[in-house]
Order: sequence, then structure tokens, then C-alpha cells
Amino acid sequence: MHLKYFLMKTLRALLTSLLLVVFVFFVLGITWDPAQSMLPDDATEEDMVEFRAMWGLDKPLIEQFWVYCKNFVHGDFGQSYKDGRDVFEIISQRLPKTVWLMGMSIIFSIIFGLPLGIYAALHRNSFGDRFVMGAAVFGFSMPNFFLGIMFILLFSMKLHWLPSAGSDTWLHLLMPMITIGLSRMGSYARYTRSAMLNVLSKQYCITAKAKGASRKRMVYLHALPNAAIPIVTVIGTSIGHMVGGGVVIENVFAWPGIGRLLVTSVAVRDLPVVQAIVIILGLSMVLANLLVDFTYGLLDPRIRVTAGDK
Amino acid sequence: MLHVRNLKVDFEVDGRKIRILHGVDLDLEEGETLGLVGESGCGKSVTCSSILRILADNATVTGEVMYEGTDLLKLPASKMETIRGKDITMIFQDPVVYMNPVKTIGNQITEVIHLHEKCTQEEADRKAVALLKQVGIPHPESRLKYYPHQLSGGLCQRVMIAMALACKPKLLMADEPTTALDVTVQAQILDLLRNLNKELGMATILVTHDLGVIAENVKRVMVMYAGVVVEEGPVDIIFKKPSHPYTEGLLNSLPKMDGQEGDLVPIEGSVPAPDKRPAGCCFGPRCKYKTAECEKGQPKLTVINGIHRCACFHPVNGTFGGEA
Ligand SMILES: Nc1ncnc2c1ncn2[C@@H]1O[C@H](COP(=O)(O)OP(=O)(O)OP(=O)(O)O)[C@@H](O)[C@H]1O
Ligand code: SF4
Ligand SMILES: [Mg+2]
Repeated sequence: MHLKYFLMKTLRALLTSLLLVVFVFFVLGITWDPAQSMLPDDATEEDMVEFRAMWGLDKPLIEQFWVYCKNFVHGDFGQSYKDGRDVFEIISQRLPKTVWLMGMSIIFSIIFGLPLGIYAALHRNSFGDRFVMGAAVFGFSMPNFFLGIMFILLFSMKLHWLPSAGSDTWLHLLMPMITIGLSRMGSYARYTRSAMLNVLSKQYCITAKAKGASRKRMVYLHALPNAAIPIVTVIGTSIGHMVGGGVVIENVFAWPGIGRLLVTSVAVRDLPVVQAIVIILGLSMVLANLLVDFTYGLLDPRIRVTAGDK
Repeated sequence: MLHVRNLKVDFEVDGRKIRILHGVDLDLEEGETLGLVGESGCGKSVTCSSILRILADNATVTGEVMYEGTDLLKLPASKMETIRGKDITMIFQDPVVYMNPVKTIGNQITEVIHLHEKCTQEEADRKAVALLKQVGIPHPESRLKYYPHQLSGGLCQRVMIAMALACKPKLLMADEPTTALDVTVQAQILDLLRNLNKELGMATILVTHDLGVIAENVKRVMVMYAGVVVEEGPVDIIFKKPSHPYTEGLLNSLPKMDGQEGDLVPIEGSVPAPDKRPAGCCFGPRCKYKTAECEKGQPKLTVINGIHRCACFHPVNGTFGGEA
């Protein structure tokens, strides 16, 4: 095992996370005056001072940050300005919904995207290949929210097959999952195709053939493990983006995840909630990248074992 | 054992078919060593690859590849798989890129054993260790767990050879097995191949563009030019009395083997692109003996003397090696 590689990657992820928290805190702290946005328009100067004192906003920003960090470490993200509830509690109600939707969307897009990409690569330039690739381009160039709205119009309003809002049943999951999944699926299929084509043109595939391996064996046991390296990178990175990108879809389908919470919290200027969500979105990207690096290291012996390791 | 007749290969490139091999004949008896020489691009690799049927999908192969009485070109794919890696094997120019980077070398060697023999993983591992020992790799047990990138090019080629020998093939085709390696390593690999050939009695086709390698390693040689066999025969005869102007040119461009003084004369011009072949003899544009007759068509391989054959309207009678 090349421990240094994994340590370095972890360290980098931690550092990025720290920078992220600092950045989010100060940018939001400087640009946003909660006293002004939370209190009614006719609030007096005294009301403002009182509000700021209550939430510790009268202290220097650096001191606020220190307090924020201390609480953060203890899992305390502060209280909502709106109703005084624990931000941690609010988010822990919503986050699982988001993770569920995203997880299912990813699984959906992998289950369909990868085999389609492999199929396209193995039948390069055939009608099937052109069709899959055409559909893939269509899938990921179509704006998510537009597709979602079309789905609602068709399957909820017109056909009354599927519920258009909420998250209670599998039926609720279907449309948002497919909406998010389709675009991902398109890009996975394309990446898988090009990764497979690249790997299939490598000389070690000729060696496999020369050994007497069947075409199937060459494709799935020799080419695919090599193609998996770039494919995993793409999937992993896109998972990071997906959580953020899901914000819009959660709102289209009234999915009660943190994406929807973010929008409602921004609307009422609930700074602690917004702050926490933005940080979580950022962390999910950092985490996704870290996972990519780890899997990458596991899949690619050139990273895992260096020439020095004997 | 192996009789190739009128082997023609076309590649389809941008919707056009380009002929690369123009009817190659090749004969090989059991245990025999044959050298295949010619400048880059003359079709040496394509010849070997089409015997093993491992050419890219854009290739069309016609002719006959009779191996022990069956035409390999007519075999169904599944039958061909039982011959590849078992009866006929091949090693390549750049061993490092011909090995799968994400599989251990143990895994890659035992794979070929499992493909052709019924045995347990332990037996396969034991065989792999024995093979690595046979091709001269130190500490074979521990090397099984190595990945290709942890080995030098020379060791990789030894592993490739081990893989090729795993199922005791009757024919080993070595396609420029040393071109990508350091000079000192080159000699070691060639020694290894020569010894293995003696030890195991398998037939060997050695592809190279180095005439020195031919002289030291094989008994019979085939000279190829632009997808055509232009001369064929015993090495000791051809190196002394080449009949084809191209062979003569190749030998002229080489330092004399007995160290005798002489100017190196490279052949003028270059190999024609496959889609810009001259009418008539393919060597015509570079040939100093060319006459009007040479424009008429590609001369056929005809017997000069015994098993020495040459494809030229005006065979030369040059003499090399200081016997003149
Ligand atoms: N898949 C392919 N598609 C199109 N052309 C090809 C293909 N494979 C080989 N060729 C062409 O066939 C010709 C002969 O190639 P080949 O590899 O047999 O040459 P060679 O004699 O082995 O030369 P070298 O010494 O460089 O290995 C070259 O012009 C090459 O470009
Ligand atoms: S046939 Fe003519 S052109 Fe061709 S090699 Fe012989 S002499 Fe030269
Ligand atoms: Mg070659």
C-alpha cells in the first residue's frame, strides 16, 4: 500500500474543507446583515442593536468565527433566526431525503449509463452506437428543470400516473430520480464509451487475444478494469456536483431535502441555516473528490504500489 | 507444419481498402527458425498477426494459413482461441505496453495456463514460478505479485516470453522482441530465445530489421519489401550471394561482418506508401538494375538455386563476406 498517497489526499481534503468553512463564513458574514433582513422594515436602531447582541453579531467577525468553529466541532450549527430551532436538527431531518434522492439517481444513471456506454463502444459507428450517443447528448444538454416540468405536465397533470410533489412513496421518487438520472446517464454513457474505446485500442488487449482469451474475456476482464479508472473519476466528481445541482430539482418536485430548505431559508434570510447548507454542499464535493482519489488509488496499481515498494 | 499461401491483407481506412500484403507465401517445419527482415512498414508484423488472426477489425485477410493440415483462416473464432496462446504464440516489440497495467504478472501468466489447461490455482502458480525461473527472472516467487510498471523493459519481455511458453507452443513468433530494449538487454533476450528454441524444439519466426540479428539467430531468412517476399533462402547463402537488388542494398548498408573495410551505402529513396505503389516491380523506383521489363508487373518468387528463391527479373550475383 502506498500510504503516503492516501495520507496526502486526506490532508488535502481536510485543508480544502477548512478553507471552505472560512470562506463561506466570512463571505456570508460580510455581505449579509441579518439584523436588517430579519427585522421588519420599521424596526428602530435599538431593535437592531438588541437583535445583534442576542445573536452575538455585535462582536468582531473574527471572534464570531471562533465561536462558530468551536460550536461547529461540537455539531452545533447555531439556531435558526426564524424559529429558533437547532440548525443541526433542521438539517438532519432534511439531509437524508437529499441523500436518498441523489443516491438513487446515481444508481439509476450508473445502471443504465455504463452498459449503454460499453455497448456503444463495442458497436462503434453502428446504428445502436449513434442512437445511444444521440440520446446521451440530448440527455445532458437538456436543462434539468425543463425536463422535470415536462415530466410533471405529462405524468402528473395529464396522465395522473405519478404524484408531482413530496417524497413519501417510491412513486414520488420516480420522476425526480429519472430527471436527475437522465442527464448523468448521458454523460456516463459518453465517458464510458470513450474510455472503453481508448482502452480497447491498447496493445495489452492484443496480448489478451493472442493468449487465446475470448472477446468477452478481453473486453470485461482486460479492458474494463482499465477503463474503470477514468470512469470512476467521472462518476465520483459528478456525485459532488449532483448534490448541489439537485437544489433546482428538489424545488421543482417539492422534494423536502436540503436543496429546498436552502431556497426557503434564503428567501427568509435565515443566515445560520443557509451557512450550514452551503458548507454541507461544499463538503460533499470535497468528500466526493476524496472518495475518487481513494478508489483511483485502489484501482490503479501504478498509484497504489510504486516501483520502490517491494 | 505451417504453410502460408498467397496471404493478402487489406485494411479499410476512411472507407478505402488499402492492400498491405500482396500474396505472401511462408513455409515452416517443426523446430525450424525463420527470420523475417525488411524495412519498417513492409508488413512483417501484419504477416505474423494475420497468421494468429489478431489483426485489427478493419483488416480483411485472404489466402491460406495451413497449420498442421487445417486452414486457420477458416476456423471459427472459438476454435482459433484454442490455438492462440497454446499452439502458436507471439511476443511483441514493446513488452511494457503489451502487458496489462492493472494485473499482476502472476495473474497474467496463470491466465494463459488456465485458458488452455485444467488445473488448480496452486498448480498454475507453481507453473508460473517455474516459467519465470526458466526465462531467467530472479526471485520468481516474489515477482508473481509484481505489476508490470515495477519491472524493467527487459524483465517485462522475459515475462512475455514466459507467458508465450506457458503452454509449450509449437510455434513462437517474436516480432522485433528486442527493438525497444537496451543494447545489453537485447543480446540477453536473443540468447534466451535461441536457447529456448534449442531446448524446447519449437519453431520460431524472428522478425527484425537488423540483419546482424538474423545472421546470429536463424538458419533461413525471408526478405520482405512493401508487402511482398522478395527473397528467401538459407542465411549463409543469401548473406554471401544475395540475388535481389533490395537484399543487396540492405547488406551494402551494413558494416561488413568480417570487419573488412568498405563504404556503407544506404539504399536511396524510401518505401512507397501502401496506396502509392509503382506499377510493375515494387522495388523499381529504388532499383539500380531496373529495365523496361520491370515495369510489366511484379516478378514472382522463382528458384535461383535449391531452396534459394528470389522475386526479380534480373537477379544480381553480388558477393559478400570477402569471398569475391
Ligand atoms: N490496423 C491497420 N490499419 C491500417 N493500416 C495498418 C494497420 N496495421 C498496419 N497497417 C499498415 O500496414 C503496414 C505494414 O505494417 P507492419 O506493422 O506490418 O510493418 P512492419 O514491417 O512490422 O514494420 P515495423 O518494422 O515498423 O514494425 C504499415 O504501412 C502500417 O501502416
Ligand atoms: S525486377 Fe527489376 S526493378 Fe525489380 S528488383 Fe529486379 S531488377 Fe529491380
Ligand atoms: Mg512491426
